[in-house]
Amino acid sequence: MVKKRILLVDDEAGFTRLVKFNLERTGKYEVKEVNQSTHAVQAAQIFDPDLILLDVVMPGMDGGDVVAELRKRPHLAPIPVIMLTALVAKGELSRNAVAESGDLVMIGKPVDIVTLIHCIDEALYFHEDGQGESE
Amino acid sequence: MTKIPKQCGDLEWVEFMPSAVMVLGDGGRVLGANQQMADLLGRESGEAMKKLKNDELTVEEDRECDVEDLQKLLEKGSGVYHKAKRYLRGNGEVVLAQVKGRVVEDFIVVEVVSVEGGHSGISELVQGYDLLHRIMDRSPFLIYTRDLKGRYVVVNKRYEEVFGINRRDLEGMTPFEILPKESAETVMNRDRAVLEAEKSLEFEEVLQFKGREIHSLTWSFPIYDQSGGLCGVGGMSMDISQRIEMENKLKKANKSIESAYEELRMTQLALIQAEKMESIGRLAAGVAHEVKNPLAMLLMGIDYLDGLPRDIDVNLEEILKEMRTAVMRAEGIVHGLVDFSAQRQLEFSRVDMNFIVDSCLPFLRHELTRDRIKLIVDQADDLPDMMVDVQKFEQVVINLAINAIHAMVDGGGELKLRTRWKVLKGMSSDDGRRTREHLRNGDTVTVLEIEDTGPGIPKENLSRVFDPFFTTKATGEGTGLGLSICKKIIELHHGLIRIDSEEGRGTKISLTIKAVTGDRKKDSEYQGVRDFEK
Repeated sequence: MVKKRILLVDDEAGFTRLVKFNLERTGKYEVKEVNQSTHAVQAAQIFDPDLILLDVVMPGMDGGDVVAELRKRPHLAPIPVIMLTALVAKGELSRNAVAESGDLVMIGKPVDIVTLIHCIDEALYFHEDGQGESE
Repeated sequence: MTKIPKQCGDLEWVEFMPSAVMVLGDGGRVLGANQQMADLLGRESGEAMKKLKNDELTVEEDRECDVEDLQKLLEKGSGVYHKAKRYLRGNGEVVLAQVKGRVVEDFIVVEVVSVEGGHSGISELVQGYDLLHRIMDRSPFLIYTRDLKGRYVVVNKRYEEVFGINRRDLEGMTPFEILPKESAETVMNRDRAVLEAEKSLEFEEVLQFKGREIHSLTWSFPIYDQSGGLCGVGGMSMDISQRIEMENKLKKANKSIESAYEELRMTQLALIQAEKMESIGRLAAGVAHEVKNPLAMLLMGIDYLDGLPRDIDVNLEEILKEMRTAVMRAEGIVHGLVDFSAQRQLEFSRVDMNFIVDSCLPFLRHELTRDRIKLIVDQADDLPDMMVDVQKFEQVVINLAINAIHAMVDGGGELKLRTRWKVLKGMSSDDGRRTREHLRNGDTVTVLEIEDTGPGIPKENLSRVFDPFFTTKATGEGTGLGLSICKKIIELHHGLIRIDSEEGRGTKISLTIKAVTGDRKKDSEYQGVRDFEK
């Protein structure tokens, strides 16, 4: 089975470490950690991920900035992005809400690994299937 | 009218007149005169004058005129004449006097008002009296004297004006004849007090006169006769009704200033409190964010450890379970903290309560089915619109509905959602602060009721139910922040949230929000108005 490549961008090194352990243990994924948001775009270009997990609040460039930069590059733009946020997103009605804002999926931290994997798989599935949402 | 007996034999009263007086009958016959008149005209006494006629007392040139005047009065039967005439004294001297003649029944009473010409003593007396009289009559005070029996003796012009009674008529009357009974009694009591105390006293009284209430201030003093015996009371009164009215107005104004000040003070306190809450809010939001990251890491770590084989350690399972629970609890608290510090800025849209209910129902389906709760929805179909922050309001409704569902923990209960509108009545003015937007009687409001058939809330908890962190759930279950957040959101909408609960019967929560009028201008006072296309 081909492992899916996941780029994980978060300024908390401890967090990215643990997520990597959890995801790679399943055998389904290969995870690259990026702790400096300013390196994110370059890492994406080199690593060529199938999906990007992106923290929102980071020093320097925040999640939103990174997404904007990714979208500017045609070969990076289609990559599905899941935002992780410790902020309370507007419209969040229950604890582990998975909200959708435009075509971005947002997950509130802390999130358990089961939910995270579910979201990752779902995003990958839809991306493979139709190469982008039909809306 | 003075009570002069028809038989003119009894004219004692002339002696009591302070000025020179004589009484003339038909043909100018002197029927009586007082000592002062006698002295003025150089006669021995009033008695002695009885044999004389007015003609004899008058200078020749003035006689004709006098006769005419007298005749006129007598024919008419009433009236007064004022004139100057020259009297002839006993010794032939002429006295120029200003006299006043008045018809009283069948007689004419002639009073010498003033005198010119030098008769020391007498004229001085008369002049002195005249001056005094003039002073009295210019006085803005009511001046009076009464005898020991309460009968008026002397009053000044002001007295006449206020009571509308001529002083001659007043003589011999008592206060009972010019004032209503109660007020007359007050006045008589005053006299009694002065006579008893035998010194001057000050009185502030409320008297009724001609249907009006008069506040009067009186200085009253005892009067002694020449032998030093008490013979009556005198007094000066002032109508201070206006002053009292002014005082009352001032007191009222002062009171309203005081209460305005109090309100201002309360508003200031509330503002300070609000500012504190906002700082706490910002602090909370910052803390929450910081705490969430380590929590996220802990959870990831626990998830990883959870994948380890259980035979490493027999307690591993339990420990991981406890750790996970702890992290979720912490997360719940943090989450609640952030909610509590929610933005004060609401984004309003114009919707009606049914729209809110319809939007929330999908979120409740799962819990309803799982707990086998029967759902009853009773929606009025003529609901007015309201201005609410849809997301936050729905948050409240879902929160409350989920609470209700969870309360019916034994399953098989009933959840009722009811919408209606009404006009507010019976609101006490203590509900909420007096801001422009707060709800008042007469306002049209829309109401949402969320009712369950659960165990209800015990009375002792009812008042604390909205306190942050108050919870009756077991430790770890829920954080107790839900209701306080709901209350805050409703308050930000200037609405009311009310709980009716009875143990054993269930709980009903009512949300009341002001309906919007069709008035575009009023509605646009809300920020961020967008017309919500349903």
